[in-house]
Amino acid sequence: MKKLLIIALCLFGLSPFLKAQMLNLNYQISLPLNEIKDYTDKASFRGFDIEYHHFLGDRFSLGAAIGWNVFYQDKKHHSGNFRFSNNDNVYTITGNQYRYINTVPMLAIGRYYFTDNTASVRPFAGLGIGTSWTEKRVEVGQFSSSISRWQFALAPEIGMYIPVNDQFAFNVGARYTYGTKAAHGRVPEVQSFTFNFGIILMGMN
Amino acid sequence: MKRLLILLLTGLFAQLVVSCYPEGADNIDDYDVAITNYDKSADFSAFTTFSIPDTIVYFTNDNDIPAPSHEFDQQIIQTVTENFTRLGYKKVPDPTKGTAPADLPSFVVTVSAFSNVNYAYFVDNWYNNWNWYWGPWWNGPFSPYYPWYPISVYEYRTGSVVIEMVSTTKRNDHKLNVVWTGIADGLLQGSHSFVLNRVKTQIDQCFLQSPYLKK
Repeated sequence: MKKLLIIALCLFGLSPFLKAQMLNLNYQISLPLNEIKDYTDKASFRGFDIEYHHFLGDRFSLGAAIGWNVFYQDKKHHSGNFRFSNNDNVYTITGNQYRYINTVPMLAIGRYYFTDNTASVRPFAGLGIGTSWTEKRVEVGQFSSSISRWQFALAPEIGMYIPVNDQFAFNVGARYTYGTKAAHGRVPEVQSFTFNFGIILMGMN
Repeated sequence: MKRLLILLLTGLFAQLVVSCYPEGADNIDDYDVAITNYDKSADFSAFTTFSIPDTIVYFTNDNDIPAPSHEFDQQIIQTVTENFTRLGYKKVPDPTKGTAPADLPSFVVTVSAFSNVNYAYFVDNWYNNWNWYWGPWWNGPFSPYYPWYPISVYEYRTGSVVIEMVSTTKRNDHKLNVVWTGIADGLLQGSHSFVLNRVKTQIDQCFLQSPYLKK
């Protein structure tokens, strides 16, 4: 919370230098990597994010993004060892197992643009730093178990946007997201590769 | 117009909530599971013979349910017996008061059935319901060996068939020496033959997922 406040204050302080801003809405497709892939080995077609970027001069922007991705896999007939609450016994349970991971990354993003704002295509590279809320859930039969934690997240990205006019642009990009493991590994390291397809609403100051 | 907007937003919100856990179980049998647990210190190859009562004991918390018909008993007990026999254990007649200690089966298999509505089902001392079988040949007392705790279930009509392998070697604390438990758990819905087939499948799965269980 305090971090957000500081970011907000910085943005406010920088506002006299802001030349432009943009609101970006993306549909996302995410590929799970490593530990996430071990858990739900399927691409996520359920995801989106909302981003807001302020330009600092011609080539730089500072912004924030909040997103949501759902990873899901039907493991079919699958065995696993489980514990019920208040009970130390380990039970082997076999049944149709459904696995879910919900992640909500919240990032502050800095970007560098390779062309100036008169170009017809504006490729960029950026880095996002922030946090990600992740919930891991498993359902088997009538039983379910879930755990959720906040993770530290880092997300380098590349992309480009194509202005149609002064107010509207199309956006495509790719972002690698890394979230640190939490709860002693019960919430795994979140690593995913996300493709962004979106629209941008531009505003001039 | 405003009402329409609220309706639209409510719908959107409902969509979002559902989207957190898309898909999942569709059919009744998607909820079927086989649950097993065993005493890690037990030596299953040391057991040789077993006896199994020819009746299933029913537990329910719903008084509206008519008394159990016992129509599944024979087939379920047969499935359980076949599984233990296949593993190399020998079925012997039920012990009586006259049975010499040396001739006692090395374990007894009990089969219980639970049908519950939104019920935490492992109540304390439920084993007392088995007193009729654990008769004079066994000198009590009875109390559950496992510290069973409520397992919360949803508001479906669930059904569980619980198979317990009870060693006739007495424990020092006088608790019943349960060494293996297999539970076939699912929704008690559909035709009788559908339910029976699902129960049998899950019982077989209980044995399948317990590779340590063999003579």
